[in-house]
Amino acid sequence: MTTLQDHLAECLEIIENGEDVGVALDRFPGWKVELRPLVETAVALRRVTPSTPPESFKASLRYRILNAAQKPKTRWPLRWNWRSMLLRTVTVVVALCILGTGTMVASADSLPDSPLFSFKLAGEQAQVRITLNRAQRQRLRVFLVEKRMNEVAAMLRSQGRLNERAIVLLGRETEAALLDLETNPDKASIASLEKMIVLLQRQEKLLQRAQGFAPPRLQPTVIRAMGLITGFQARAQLALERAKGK
Amino acid sequence: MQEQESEEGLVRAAQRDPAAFGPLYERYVDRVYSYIAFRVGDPAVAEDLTSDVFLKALEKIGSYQWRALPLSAWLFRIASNCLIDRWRRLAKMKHVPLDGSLGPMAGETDLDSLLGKRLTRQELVKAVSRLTEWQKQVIALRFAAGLPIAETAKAMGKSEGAVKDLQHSALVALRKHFLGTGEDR
Repeated sequence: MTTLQDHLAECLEIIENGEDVGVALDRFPGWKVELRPLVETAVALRRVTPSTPPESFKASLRYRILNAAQKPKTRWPLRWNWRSMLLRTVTVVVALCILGTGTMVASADSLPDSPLFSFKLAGEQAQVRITLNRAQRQRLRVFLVEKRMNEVAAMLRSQGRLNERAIVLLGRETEAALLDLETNPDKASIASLEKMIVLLQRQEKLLQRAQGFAPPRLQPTVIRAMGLITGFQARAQLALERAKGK
Repeated sequence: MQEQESEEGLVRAAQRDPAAFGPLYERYVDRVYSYIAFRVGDPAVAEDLTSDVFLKALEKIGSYQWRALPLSAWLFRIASNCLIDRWRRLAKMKHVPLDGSLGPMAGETDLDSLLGKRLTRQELVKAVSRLTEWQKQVIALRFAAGLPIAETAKAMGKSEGAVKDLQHSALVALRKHFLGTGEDR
């Protein structure tokens, strides 16, 4: 037997498919009196409840998902301190080995489209991990952001070389540096934050240039990166104010 | 049907290559955010939880089975679990009530003229807070996320009949509250 609940559900689905309330109610002549107040309540609810996420948030999450999708899965989540220490030690040993072979030297000037570039990144990450002093690590991270920017600029100069990896890595490096800088920023972070703010202004201009030169397939990546800049700038500014104790 | 097929194609593509998850994200981000925002009330928290939902979905898309559950229901189950985790954490910290549905987000936006009276979101917050947990869940999935009855039922792990009953009882309770509020003024 069809109940009021069934008719209500059916009536609401008719309205959801674009019909007017009156037209929908007319389809249930025997139930109109009972249905009308409930349908009106539902329609009012539907008008007020949906919230739209801010575009900046959507762009930033899209970027995070893109980055996460490109990261290889790690088998060892860093849940335990001893694992973190072990990882750090292993990284140092690996970094020393790499340094010993001279690959690092060869990869120092490589760009993101070079096979040697991964060695360069591994070396940098090892350097970050072994830098335990917070202020020094922050300076190093800001330096790495500048390095990524210089790589993008170099690729832009040699036309057609710019690739997605370069842009994604620039965003990732900037995010990592900002995360480090905005976690309990103090007086020692001020210089790095000021440098970061200047770099972000330059990064904005660099990405605008990249947008002008990038082929169509790269455009979405560049636009996404540009969408993040405002957020990065606001976060850096906020962290600087906190560091200065305002 | 065609939409379902194309969604199945998108899921398969994302399962082969997680970098192809983007179109699924675009398709659901607004609805997932709206559902979470309705349940938590705070836009900043809604953003955090929406991020968690999609990052978890990306991580688990490989093990998702199309036949077992529609993607929307699967995503909203993840969202619901994220909310429960958050409420558990908050309950342990003992500083926020278990459910903040439509809390701080509720401003003075007028709920459109209902019964010829202007009702504010604050009144809606009050009314929703009196619903049972299942009723709130149905209202959030149906009206904030815009899921049809069938998908709401699958997301909640209930029968369509049970969802229709909950929808009806929730609307009756809200209506009564709105009328009562109107008379109090």
